[in-house]
Amino acid sequence: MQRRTLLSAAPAALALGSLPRLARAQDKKSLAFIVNVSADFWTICKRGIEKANREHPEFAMEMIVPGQASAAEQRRIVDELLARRVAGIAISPINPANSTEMLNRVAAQSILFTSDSDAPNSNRMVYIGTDNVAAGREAGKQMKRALPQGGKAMLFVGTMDADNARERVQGIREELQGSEIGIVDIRTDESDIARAKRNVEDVLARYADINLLVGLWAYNTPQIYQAVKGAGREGKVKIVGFDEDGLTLRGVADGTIESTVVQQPYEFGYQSMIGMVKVLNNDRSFIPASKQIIIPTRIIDKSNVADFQKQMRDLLRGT
Amino acid sequence: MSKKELGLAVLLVVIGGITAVLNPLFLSGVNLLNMANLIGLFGIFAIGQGLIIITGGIDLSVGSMFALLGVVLVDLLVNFELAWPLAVLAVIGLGLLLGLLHGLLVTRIRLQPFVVTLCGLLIYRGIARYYTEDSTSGFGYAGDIDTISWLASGRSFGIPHPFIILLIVAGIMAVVLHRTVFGRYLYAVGRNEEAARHSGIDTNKVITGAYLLGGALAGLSGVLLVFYTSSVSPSSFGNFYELYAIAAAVLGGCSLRGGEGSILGIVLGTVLLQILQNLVNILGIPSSLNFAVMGGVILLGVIADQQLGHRRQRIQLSRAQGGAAAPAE
Repeated sequence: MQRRTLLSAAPAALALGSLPRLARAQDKKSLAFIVNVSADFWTICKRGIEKANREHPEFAMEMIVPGQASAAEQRRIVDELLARRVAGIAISPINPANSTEMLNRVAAQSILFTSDSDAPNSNRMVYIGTDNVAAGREAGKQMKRALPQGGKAMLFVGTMDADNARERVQGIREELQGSEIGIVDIRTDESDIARAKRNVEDVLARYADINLLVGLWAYNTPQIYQAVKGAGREGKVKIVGFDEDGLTLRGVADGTIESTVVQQPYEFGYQSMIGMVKVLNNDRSFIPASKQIIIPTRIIDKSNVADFQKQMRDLLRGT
Repeated sequence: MSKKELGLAVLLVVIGGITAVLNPLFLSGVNLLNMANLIGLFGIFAIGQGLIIITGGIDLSVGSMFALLGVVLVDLLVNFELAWPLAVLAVIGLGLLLGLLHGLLVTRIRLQPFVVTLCGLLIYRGIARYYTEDSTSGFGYAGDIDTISWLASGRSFGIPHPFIILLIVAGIMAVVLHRTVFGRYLYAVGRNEEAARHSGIDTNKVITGAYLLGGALAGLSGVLLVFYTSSVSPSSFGNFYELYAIAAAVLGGCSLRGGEGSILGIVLGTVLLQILQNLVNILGIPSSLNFAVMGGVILLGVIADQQLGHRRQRIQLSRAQGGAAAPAE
């Protein structure tokens, strides 16, 4: 994992370090990718943006992480970018259904892509990212593979007011229709990691007969993994997860986690940036009629986890 | 045990009893030990918060401190591969340092504690996020951290270590607060800082001392929390935890005006908060109601405490009046 050294974290270095960057950014056309919250997921996306920038050094490309995962904070960032006359914005909108007005304002003044989370009602030029309902169906298939005889499953997620959470659950429910697997409940933790773990511990304490735990967000699966190990219920309780946290992959490698459905954030970052560059060069031929470029999910299980772990480690370290 | 603590203990037993009747699994060994673990994690920094509140101050920066100390700890262990005793000492030392900084800003520059620690809340979170470039730090790819991992999140004789550490910390702090001169001074400063200074107490030192203890205890809980989750996402780790600590201290009888409170009360307050969160899951109440249940019960508890307090005062008053009237006859 790439990180700054202790020294350069000093506020003085911060101020000095960012000045030249800002100065440079004003000469070049700038492209911004606004994410929803800080996560390793977006670090990988950033590597994709960096690759795009190496191929197109005539642009200044940056990724912006909001201080709080709120629609209000995103709106503030968008307003500032528009004031800076940014040439293009790719955004993972936190509350797409109610952000149409803000997104349209961006679309009127610069190029607008959505990524990771779509806003089909807005004037966005194209969506580049995962189809979360399809990803949910993939997870549903993995759940059926983990419990061929059926059983009881519990889902864990940060909040259910996020569209990707709702869509994944929808996909899972669609896939499980007619199967013997029942979803007991969905537990939320409001993005508090410690609470995510306690939710799993409480479920393990309360339901002696639970067969399958599913983590819908990146940090949920590692907490499930640890709580199940802590309770000594490995093997008896199956785990299916999303995303590629280091601990999740470790769990897949040691067999505690059945499989994990991973997206390809590297491609989100790379293709969004390359796409915006193309539009700026008046090439829109890559945009399909559906205005959605779906980047498929992958299933990581015991068979391919070793390669994938290595690949992730290299990406996070920035090599 | 004072009346306030007794009242809180009764509330605990009532809520625990109702939950146990509705679902006997509440009292299962697994569940109680899980809860003991969380009580340990949240109790230690609640005690630190309580000490600061007793002096009439407040520490809003605890949650952000966890994020900052957490990413530093992971960095020291995973990337610098520092020996774990050094890493843990460094993190607790950093906690002390931040506590000292708060203490000096409050006493020397005479800034309000609310403002000082609110700035801390913003600054530490920001530094933590910048330091990690907003990526999650974790032990996913870490090598040999088994010893410290066992010490911080393991169990001995079935008892989770955080709970044992809380008992030790609570024991030491109870002696410090209730049996030493420094403890007396903490109350004196909280009741009336001016009066305490005029009676010869070095109030600046006493207040700074409280912030130092708060910082060190925050450092210690930071270490335990990191090993509880094994990963730290700098933008959300520890968010709002200062409010859990403040709630525990207030439930436990600390007055936000200062000068009141006890270690036992703070620990009982923490226990109540953890039971409330646990019962939401155990009774299958929708997770979304979690905070509402917590807020509702705290409010009811505080109202009941207030009403009982008024009644006691009235009874005492009427007794005193009766007593005063008697000799006149």
